[in-house]
Amino acid sequence: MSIDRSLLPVSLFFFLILSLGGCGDANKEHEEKSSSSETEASTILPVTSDLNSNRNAYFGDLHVHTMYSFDAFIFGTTASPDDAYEFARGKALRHPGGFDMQLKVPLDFYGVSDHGFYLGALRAMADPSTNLSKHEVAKGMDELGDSVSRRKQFGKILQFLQSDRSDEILDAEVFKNAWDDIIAAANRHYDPGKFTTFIAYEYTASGPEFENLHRNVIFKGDSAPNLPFTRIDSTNPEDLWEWMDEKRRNGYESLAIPHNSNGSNGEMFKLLDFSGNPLSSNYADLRMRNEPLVEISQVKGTSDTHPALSPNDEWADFEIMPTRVASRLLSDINGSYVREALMNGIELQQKKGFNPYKFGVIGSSDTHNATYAGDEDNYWSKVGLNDDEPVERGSVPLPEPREDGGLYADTYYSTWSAAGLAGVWAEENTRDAIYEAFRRKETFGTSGTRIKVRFFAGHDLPELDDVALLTKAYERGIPMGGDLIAVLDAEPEFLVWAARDVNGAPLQRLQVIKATVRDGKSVETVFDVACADGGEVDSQTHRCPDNGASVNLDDCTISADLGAAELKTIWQDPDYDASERAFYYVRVLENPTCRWSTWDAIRSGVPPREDLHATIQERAWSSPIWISPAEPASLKSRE
Amino acid sequence: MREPLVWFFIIGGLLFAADHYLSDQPDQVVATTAQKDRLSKLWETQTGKPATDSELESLVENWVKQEVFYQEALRLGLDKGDSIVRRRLIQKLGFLVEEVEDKSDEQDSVKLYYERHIEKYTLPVRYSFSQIFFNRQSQLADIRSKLDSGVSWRELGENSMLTVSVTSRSEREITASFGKLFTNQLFTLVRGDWVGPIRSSFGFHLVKLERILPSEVTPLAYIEKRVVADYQQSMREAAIDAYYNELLVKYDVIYE
Repeated sequence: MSIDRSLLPVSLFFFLILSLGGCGDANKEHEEKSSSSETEASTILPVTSDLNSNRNAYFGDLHVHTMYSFDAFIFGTTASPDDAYEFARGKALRHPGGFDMQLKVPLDFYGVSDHGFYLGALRAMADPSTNLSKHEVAKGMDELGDSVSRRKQFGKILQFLQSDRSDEILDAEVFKNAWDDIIAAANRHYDPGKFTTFIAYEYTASGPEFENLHRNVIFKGDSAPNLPFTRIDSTNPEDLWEWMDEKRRNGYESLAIPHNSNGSNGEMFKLLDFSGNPLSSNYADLRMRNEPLVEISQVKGTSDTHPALSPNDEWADFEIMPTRVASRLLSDINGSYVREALMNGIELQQKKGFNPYKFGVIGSSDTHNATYAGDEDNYWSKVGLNDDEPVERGSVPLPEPREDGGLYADTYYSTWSAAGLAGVWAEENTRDAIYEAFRRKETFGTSGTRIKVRFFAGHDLPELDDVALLTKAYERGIPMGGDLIAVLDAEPEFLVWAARDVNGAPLQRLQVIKATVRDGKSVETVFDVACADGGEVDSQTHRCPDNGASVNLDDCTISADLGAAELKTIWQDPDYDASERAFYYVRVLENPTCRWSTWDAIRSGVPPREDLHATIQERAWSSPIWISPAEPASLKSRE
Repeated sequence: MREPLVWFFIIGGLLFAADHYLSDQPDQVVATTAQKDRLSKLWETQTGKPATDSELESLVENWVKQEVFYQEALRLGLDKGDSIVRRRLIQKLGFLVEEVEDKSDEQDSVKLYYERHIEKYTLPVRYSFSQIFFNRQSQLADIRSKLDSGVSWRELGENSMLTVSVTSRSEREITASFGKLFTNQLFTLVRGDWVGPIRSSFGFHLVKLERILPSEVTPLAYIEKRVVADYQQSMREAAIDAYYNELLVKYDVIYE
């Protein structure tokens, strides 16, 4: 050992000599460069800022796993939090499958959110200098082979984690080191004004039969509690919220964002608490204090709504993942989708005076490769070596049919999506400004596209062509995520406005989704409010005419010259009733484009798989605006 | 005493005696205090309670037993040709080399690194411009005449979500929001007056290019933390590379 070490100074010395050799030239070149350029004053001070009181849209991903997540590591991910942040800023990163992943446009903010439980443990098992590597369950961790043997090894470890011996691999030092590295990496890459990072982790609780109760915990500041609260501490999310409350009192402000309610089998938004008691106003306070946002779309499907819940929403069948998380068991629909939860929320508010489901929305990827999810036309999915090949994710037929005759891999990866971005409206790209936007719920989610969506409600909104449109909208109205109190003699107006992603498809229609409580039950309506290509909304059906946009499935080209760059309108609800409690949120639809599975098939020279959607309409969802009745509805019903 | 043969026998005899003496001594297995501490700490993290004396005793006994087997296995050369052992040793050597001394305190090294990688810390060319957006080309004449008659440009055109005044943004940043079509034309403009219309995937723009900032280097003082972090990372990587190269000198690599 001592011999090896003694070589180091020598090699470092050589390295330094080599470095010296080159630096003179670099300096000279630089001098030449600056002398030949125009004589503008240096802009390095002051730092340019986007500071905008009318707020800018920033896009990010708050759901990113790296090598410290127990599953990500075993699936082949060796990328560190540092690598993740560099990727988000635009750098290419090599996938364990041997290809480069890179964003077309860098992201504005990013939060590495590794699984809190067994944080760093599997990686430590593969590091022979650690105690964990000597544990029997670590056998084979240093020789992980292809995805099949990795899954086998993972199965073995999961079995061990479920045994009563699981404590044996709780190594406090490994846990702490990983957490400290995650905190340090977030702070190292935070570049105020340009790129925001968040200290975060995932609380990965599940019910006994894969009922997903996962949430990401996002910290506001540059420090965080000594260790995360994990499912090992408790699988009851109410305990997590209590912990967050306690930490908040000690100066660690945080919020939790549930995800994959779609795979929760009805547990995420059920109408009972964890112990099975009816919900209470204490429960609602506790939940809302800690969970102002929900993840509406990610790789494992979109949780807006389900066709069975929203039969009159023609766009409800969008990236539905029917199964529970990490399982083939079907997930119950009731209690698993965002829109239904928002509706139950206003019902509870109406009947009992509290609302545990008054949340805003974001999207994020849940990548386990450290690297977002890629786009439809450049998709690498999310679990390392398991699903990086089209055949593995079921978009291209197997070389040989399965024993049961199936042509495609028997996998749920085919129901996954190239999806999930978080949008916020914030004054500038800093932790404080973006975090405050989370707290205000001035956020939106997208299916991966970078559509920007504005949404205001008020009783005296400015005209669309007002030069000071936004300033006045903020002065006289409330933005998405807020509350408006109805007034009896004036109907609210809504400013609904969206702009396309310059690298995506043009917009097809702008919609407002409304739910109101009528006779104690909430009912939903989907309104088209602005149409591309000069279309007018039909006043009876509330629908735009079909703009005829189509996709050529031979090469995924889309209709040229159809669709809009921006859609905006001042809208009023034709069914408005000032005595009703309601919420409204915006959904923006792009013209159709190829789904990732179609891109895979075309590139492999095979027809797109018939039981998958060949095309999708990428979209964005705003956070809701809630309107409380002008007078207590109970009074009115007595009249 | 110049006879080489005599020397040969004397030295050979000494070596033989030394070997005989040494090999009669049994190999040592030492359970150090540090080792005992480690075992008891491991026990504590795994069970949540400190080890009792008898538990510690049996932990140490178990460790001694394993160590004896381990040493014997080494003596028998069982580590040779074993792919698991091979891989673990390689990993371990890697971890060792990565633990480079932290030299970030040494200002000179950091400065040197910064200068050597100056391109990483060089800001690109940045553009500042204002733009009036409109949807139909037919609106151009009206906007133009209002501009000429002194109406403030901020009151002209249509509201859009695009920034109306862009300050010091790189080509990449401008392209991210305005698209390639727009940026390509922007670069051909001269500074000064309102020109256009320029077409983008949003519509039409009259553009006033106000300022072009040349590429310039961020002074070290502004980004020292970042440079130190980059430097440390590069030292880790360089140490492994240099170590490998140095080792290569000691080996003849033959590719068959």
